[in-house]
Amino acid sequence: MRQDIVITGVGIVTGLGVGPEATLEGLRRQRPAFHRLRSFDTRGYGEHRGVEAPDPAEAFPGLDLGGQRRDRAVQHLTGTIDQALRDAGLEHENPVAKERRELILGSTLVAMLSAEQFLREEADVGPARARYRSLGEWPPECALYRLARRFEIGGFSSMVSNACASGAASMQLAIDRLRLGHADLVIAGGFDPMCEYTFAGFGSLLLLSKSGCRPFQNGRDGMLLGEGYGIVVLERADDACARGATPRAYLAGASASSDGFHLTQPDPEGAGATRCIQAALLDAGVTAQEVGYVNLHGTGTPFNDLSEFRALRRVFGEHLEAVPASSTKSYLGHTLGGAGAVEVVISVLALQHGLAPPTLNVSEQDPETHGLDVLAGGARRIDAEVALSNSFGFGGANAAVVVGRV
Amino acid sequence: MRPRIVVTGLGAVTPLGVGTAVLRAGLKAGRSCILHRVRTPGEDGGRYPEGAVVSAPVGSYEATVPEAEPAAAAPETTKGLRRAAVHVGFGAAASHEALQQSDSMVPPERRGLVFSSSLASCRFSYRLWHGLLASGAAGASPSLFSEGVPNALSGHLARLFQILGPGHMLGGGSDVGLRALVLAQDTLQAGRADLMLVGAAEELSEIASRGYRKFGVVKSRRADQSPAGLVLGEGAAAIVLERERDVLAAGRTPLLAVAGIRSAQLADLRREASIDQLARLIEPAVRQALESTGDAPLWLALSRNGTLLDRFEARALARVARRVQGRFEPQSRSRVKELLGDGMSVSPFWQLVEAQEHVAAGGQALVLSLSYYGAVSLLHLAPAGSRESSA
Repeated sequence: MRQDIVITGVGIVTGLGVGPEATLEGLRRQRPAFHRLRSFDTRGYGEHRGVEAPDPAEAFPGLDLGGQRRDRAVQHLTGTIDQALRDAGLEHENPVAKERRELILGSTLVAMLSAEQFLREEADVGPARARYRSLGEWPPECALYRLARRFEIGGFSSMVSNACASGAASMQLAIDRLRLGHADLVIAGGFDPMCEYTFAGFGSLLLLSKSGCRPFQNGRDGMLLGEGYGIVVLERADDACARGATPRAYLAGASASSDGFHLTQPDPEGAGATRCIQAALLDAGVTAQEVGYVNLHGTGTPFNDLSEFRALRRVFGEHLEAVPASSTKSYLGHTLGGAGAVEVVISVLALQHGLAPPTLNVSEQDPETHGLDVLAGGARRIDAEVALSNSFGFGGANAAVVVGRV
Repeated sequence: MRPRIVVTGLGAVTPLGVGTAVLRAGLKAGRSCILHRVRTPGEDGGRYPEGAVVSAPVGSYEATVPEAEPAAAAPETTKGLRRAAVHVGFGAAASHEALQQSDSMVPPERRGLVFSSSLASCRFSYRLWHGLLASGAAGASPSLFSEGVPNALSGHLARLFQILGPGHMLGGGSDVGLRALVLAQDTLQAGRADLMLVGAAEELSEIASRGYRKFGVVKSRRADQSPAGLVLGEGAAAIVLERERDVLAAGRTPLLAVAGIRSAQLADLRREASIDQLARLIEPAVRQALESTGDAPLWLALSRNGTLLDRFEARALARVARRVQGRFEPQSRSRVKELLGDGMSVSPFWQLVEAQEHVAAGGQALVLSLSYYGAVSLLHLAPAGSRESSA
């Protein structure tokens, strides 16, 4: 396994709570975070459930999040990055020069809530009297600017919008920045807030479940949405060692690919996903036989799960039956651009604590996915060295990340 | 040593029309595409409740792509784009030209792409929102939603041109196109792909025009009344990048080389320290270019767009000129923004096309792009086959 890049800190905020401990506890207790959505009126929609993270001020009491007028996602990111830097032991002093620190984030919506605020006001009072301040928070570069300024990041920064693969894609890009020597520290991750725009959009495409999030369950009927923020602090192993950091895991490898098939439907044969997973394993220097846990993309939509199964079957062959796999979207909902990063953090926790969380709501696995060991019923103790996390999104965007136990 | 990256194909859709030849000819002839355009609130699909105060039509100077030009120029690329946003069609036509020129035989699995946009599907998002606000859940359009996701552009391009390797879409300010180039270069140098299609696409809309106007940066008066102010432009550009050694081994001829590209985030454009930070970013590239060309003039394209960024940029460049003892004249030689408006993420690529002739004749070129939120990128172009290493 390639051991040149390490994850020295993680930050995570989801419906399960704030930080790795709360996340782990929620997974251990098999506690789904779904509730009736509070942030907008769901009347008129067929579905009312989803997952919202705690409000930023509640999640990060006492931390300066930039003021209440700042976009919710940016406030959450401020807290999550702060958490990850503390976890990496960089809360007081960062030995890396500002110009060598980079920020690569993935999101589909970024500050859409600020745009929403403007558009509602515009509809109420008309464009002449609407206040445009919140519209100015919408562009992705505004979020990057605020975060870079807060955390003194003077190097390259970027917002990747690869739909639901955004968070994982950020890690592939970050690995290259470090390996090629362009940066000495990269803060990477993904996020998306809960927003009526996406709720309505996925609803219009008939992708929201009426029966709950049930990945790989026979008769599953769709996904439920969630809000999530996942951040990792990445460094070259030698640099981390030199400053006395204790890595949580290796970021052994990652990959991205395109289906080139359809804008909203996955390739039914999973050809793009297959290439992506194979490339990630190759990048990580591991074989499929070495993978001891798979955090599935597992959205719960009929086509997505089947396509992922076919890709995994092609990559793992008969060995697939021996690899425990689960979809943590059954706890957190689909956090869209955040999913890849949130699930990488969960994969790191699974390796560190030797615990693979089960998929909730699976009583009868889809027979068409026979051969995939979808953990259900209870958590399983694992002694895995390597975990794989998959993310696939609209636009045929795929990303896979391989993490390794330190 | 990281392998050197070269450009093997160029494509452009501009307010002048489709194609890099049209762009070059238009720039040489000094053909301005900037017109006064009046946009009406609601033309992007917005609907307002009874009794709401609706603002007067918005008038500003803009440069827009002639209707239907991209589809007419490259009809085979428009398959499946009937419902797509306009900028996707621009991006497809530019990509088609760039890939045709590159004439590379790299298989689909080894091709990747990084595209970018500042405004992306702003018009579609706006229309979907207004549908929602007017009619609730029933007003949400599935096609507006799916075609309005930012990576609809990269997804369509991957499908149209069977680019099956790494594919990424970036959102950001004016320099995001060059940031896409940074990541594409990384992808090639890391060996994840053998060919990268890089580019940007923008589409103007009423909401974008109104937003920029409200922020007080858009040029809305006649030039003789107010020389300052941003003129928005739209269109697309695409370039094909490959490793130089692969291109030469295949007996092909690169168009020009990426001698270096640097990106940074400036802390605060109002502070003196940020001017110095920008000067420190520019200086090594200027020195490197001067070393290669002796004292022959550098071809310089600036970010200059009629906003307060201009003064900031000029001050940083003046510092660099002093530090290199006047061996470099910090004047922009690009006519792109003057004639075609500021195409945001796209402009640096149009400037790259503009610079090609100078570079092909043995010169060096620098393209600087600075965004409102302090993101800055600098691209250094050199003749293919010259000895500069990638910075």
